[in-house]
Amino acid sequence: MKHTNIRNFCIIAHIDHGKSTLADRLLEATSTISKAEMKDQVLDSMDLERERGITIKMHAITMEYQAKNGEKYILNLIDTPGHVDFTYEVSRSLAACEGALLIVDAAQGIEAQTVSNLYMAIENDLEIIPVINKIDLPSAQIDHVKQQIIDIIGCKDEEILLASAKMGLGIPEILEEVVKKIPAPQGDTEAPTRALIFDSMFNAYRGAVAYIRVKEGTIRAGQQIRFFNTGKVFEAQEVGILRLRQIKHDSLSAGEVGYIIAGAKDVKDTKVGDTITTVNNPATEALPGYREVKPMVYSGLFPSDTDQYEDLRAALEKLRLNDSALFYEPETSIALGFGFRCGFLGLLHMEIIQERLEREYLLDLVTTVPNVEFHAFTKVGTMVAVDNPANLPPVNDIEHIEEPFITSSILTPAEYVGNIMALAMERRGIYINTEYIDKTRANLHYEFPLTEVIFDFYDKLKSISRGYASFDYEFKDYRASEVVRLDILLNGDPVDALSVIVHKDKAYEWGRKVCEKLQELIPRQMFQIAIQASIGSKVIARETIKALRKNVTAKCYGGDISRKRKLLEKQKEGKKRMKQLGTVQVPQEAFLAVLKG
Amino acid sequence: MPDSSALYIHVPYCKRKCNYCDFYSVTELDSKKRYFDALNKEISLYSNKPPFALDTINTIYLGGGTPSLLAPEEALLLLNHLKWNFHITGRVEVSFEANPGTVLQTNLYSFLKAGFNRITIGVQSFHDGELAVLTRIHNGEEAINAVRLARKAGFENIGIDLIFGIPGQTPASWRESLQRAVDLRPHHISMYGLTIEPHTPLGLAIKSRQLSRCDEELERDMYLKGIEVLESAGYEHYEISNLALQGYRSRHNQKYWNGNPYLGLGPAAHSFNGIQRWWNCANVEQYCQYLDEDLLPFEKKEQLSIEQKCQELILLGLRRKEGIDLQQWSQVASGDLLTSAEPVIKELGGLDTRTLPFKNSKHNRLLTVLHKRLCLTRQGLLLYDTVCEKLAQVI
Repeated sequence: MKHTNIRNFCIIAHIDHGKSTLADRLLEATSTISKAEMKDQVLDSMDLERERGITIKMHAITMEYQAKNGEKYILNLIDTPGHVDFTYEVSRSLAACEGALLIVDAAQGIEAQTVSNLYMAIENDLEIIPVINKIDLPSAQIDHVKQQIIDIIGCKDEEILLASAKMGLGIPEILEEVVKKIPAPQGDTEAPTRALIFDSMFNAYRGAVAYIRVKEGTIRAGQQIRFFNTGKVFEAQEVGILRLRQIKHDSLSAGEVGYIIAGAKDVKDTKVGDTITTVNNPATEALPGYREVKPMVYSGLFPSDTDQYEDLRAALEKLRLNDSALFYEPETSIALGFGFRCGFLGLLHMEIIQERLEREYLLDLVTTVPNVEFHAFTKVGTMVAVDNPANLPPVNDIEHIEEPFITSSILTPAEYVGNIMALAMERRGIYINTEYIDKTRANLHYEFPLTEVIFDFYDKLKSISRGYASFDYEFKDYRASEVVRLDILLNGDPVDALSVIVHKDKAYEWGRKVCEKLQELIPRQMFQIAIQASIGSKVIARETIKALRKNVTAKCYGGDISRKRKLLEKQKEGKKRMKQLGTVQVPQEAFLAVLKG
Repeated sequence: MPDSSALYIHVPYCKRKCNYCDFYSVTELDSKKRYFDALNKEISLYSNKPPFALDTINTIYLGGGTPSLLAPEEALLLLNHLKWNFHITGRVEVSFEANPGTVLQTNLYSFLKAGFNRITIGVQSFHDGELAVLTRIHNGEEAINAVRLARKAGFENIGIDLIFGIPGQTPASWRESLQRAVDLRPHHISMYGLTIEPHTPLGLAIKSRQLSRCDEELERDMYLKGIEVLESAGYEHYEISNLALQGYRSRHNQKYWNGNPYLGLGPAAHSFNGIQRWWNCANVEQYCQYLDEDLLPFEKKEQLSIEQKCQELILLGLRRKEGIDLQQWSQVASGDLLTSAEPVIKELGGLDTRTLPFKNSKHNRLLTVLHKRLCLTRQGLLLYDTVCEKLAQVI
């Protein structure tokens, strides 16, 4: 195939704006997958994955398309992860393309995340094909959404395509436009080889599978290849292109998209953004844009049943195989026992991992309050990275502490701007500017301490904007900040799992809330329990749980015995969910309730 | 020494339902005839079934509801029917519950003649205001009269019930009620801390803050005061809420706490045959329908596991002055309770073997051991539920 007949593109869309349905239609229209296979795919996916070692999750797929001009084209559709925590992965997918379909829901209009990804695509010099989807909806506001798109990308009215993926409308036009508008890939097939890894996954039978876009040169099966950033050399055991299954080819050359299996045991060796070169025709420089993906949010994960510790470790190991952004290391808590300190790209990533551990691995977890990584600078001039409040050096040793800041954009209907500014102020937001996308929609730019948005910020934002505002962020830098460690003490003993690092202005409110929550949730015991919040040795909030003074069932006759016995059984069951902290028994719900803020 | 079994008959009728009451009863008396037919049918069905067909029975208890609402001839027929169908032998204790508001002298005498030899009167309080809070149908004076009438009618075993912890009750009014009780010198006194069930009218009134719950500290003091006053008047404290003159403990109720079998008849009545517990449906109409079809009217039956038997040994044993029989425990649990519960007992503050059961521990401990029985001290009584919970966790 001539390079002039290859088109590499991706789809930029907000969740629910119809990306997968549209992708399905494209696959059908190009006869890449028949309608029957579509269904089979769902039904057989588990067996298929297991038996033949292929993946169904669409990282990328190659379509053949007979255009109206009579020529045959290879269309490579590259998938982009769908949410805010994976901005970096999105940027690598974009870097593998020459063009992008911008899909906007005809009823919803453009959302913040779409705008961010769109700007990223424009920065990568991608050709944008705007498509308004779901035009069949009664609530579709086609003209309004058209205007939004024109305002943002400055295209002409007639360049915007109209479609309904659900109804199959507008699909041929999209395919034609891809061929016409998106440039063919450049790149010399004889030049020193450089291929970009835009995604990778772990296959139990074949090891790490890297999804690549060859930018220059050629990779042949059997060649020695080198990963630029890890420096490791492997043999390219197999290369090929991606259809419903992986299809073996002898080689992949500049402009082509496909997979490579090199016997790497772990996705750590096939990091997204890394560059692959060949040993016999090596490039001297990696492709631009690689960076180490670093966790942004940390939380302790503990099995509520201590017997499940090994199961948790095994589950994390498995998830880690496919997710190089997941970080974990053993952690011991006096309160919660043995568990793991885990690092995540963001809150959503954290929620996904926790949910998968609970659902797929049937683990019952207690999680601690998530925190960002603080940098503590000591008086002797060293920097300590603190991803766990317990590891903050003694206050007297600290010269100052820095916390991570993000830049963010909040896209909202203009009427909610006031609410959002109030919320931003509450969260220590630093206002940058406001862009009006059109008369009714504003894009607010703020800088926030990351710690302020990892905690129920998104929910709050949604609730004060009736669900209309959307939010996108990116790490900016570390800045000095007046944060303190707040400890929670039960009868004088600190509960390590409840310690947090907070801004000093917020410490009192946090402490008071946690004390109140605990007072509500810790059952009364035979002795009085003092719940205190303290900064260093200074107690800033306190609640007391009074000792039980009289706790006696007055009547127990023939009809009461079963009921009383059942209560004992229930209490015994409940005891399993209690953590013994010193003399005090604390229900696990208490740890979870603290998370709810 | 195996004791005889017990019969309980639930009479599900009341003149008016008290706001705190959690027992099954109805105020419509129309179904009474049907209820009696069904009850007689139930008695006949069980009379053919072991173990109760073969067991000897020496206590009968009519509870409610308000058994004193029965016409004397109904009560007589019922007792005769029971005697006809079961082996009721020896010195039989036949009790019935009476509401002071339903008691007339003639009635009481007829009950005595019919064969009832023990009456337990639901006095609850001698204080009119407190009785009004509890929506009782009688006042304090009627309560006093009821006890006198019972004595006059010839009852030689009279019990009364008292309640403390009533919203608005004061230590002084409680002391007054206790003094009245002592002056009347019944043979048996039960004193119950008011249990507030959330779904009762009282529970709802407290939830909506129309009434306020008695302060825990106050209730504790009332309980301790009750024990003190009644003990010094010569009553023996033999169960958490029960005191009696020498020789007048409730034989029937002790069977529940000792783990003896009992057969409960009537809607919502519970039964126990030593291995299984079951209970009848709590609905007169449904109860009657079952029996119309010659079916036993029970709603649920449970077979006790060893673990459950152990739980019951704890929760029943600790209620009694005699405590948990450690030898019996070893037989059931095949292990030594004091050994397996050692850490829990320690957590509870340890044993004070120099204190007698139900008596004040100078060292403020909750448990004592006497004659190979694990018993609560006075301090332990106050935390019975907590002690049960902790001990049950070692099973």
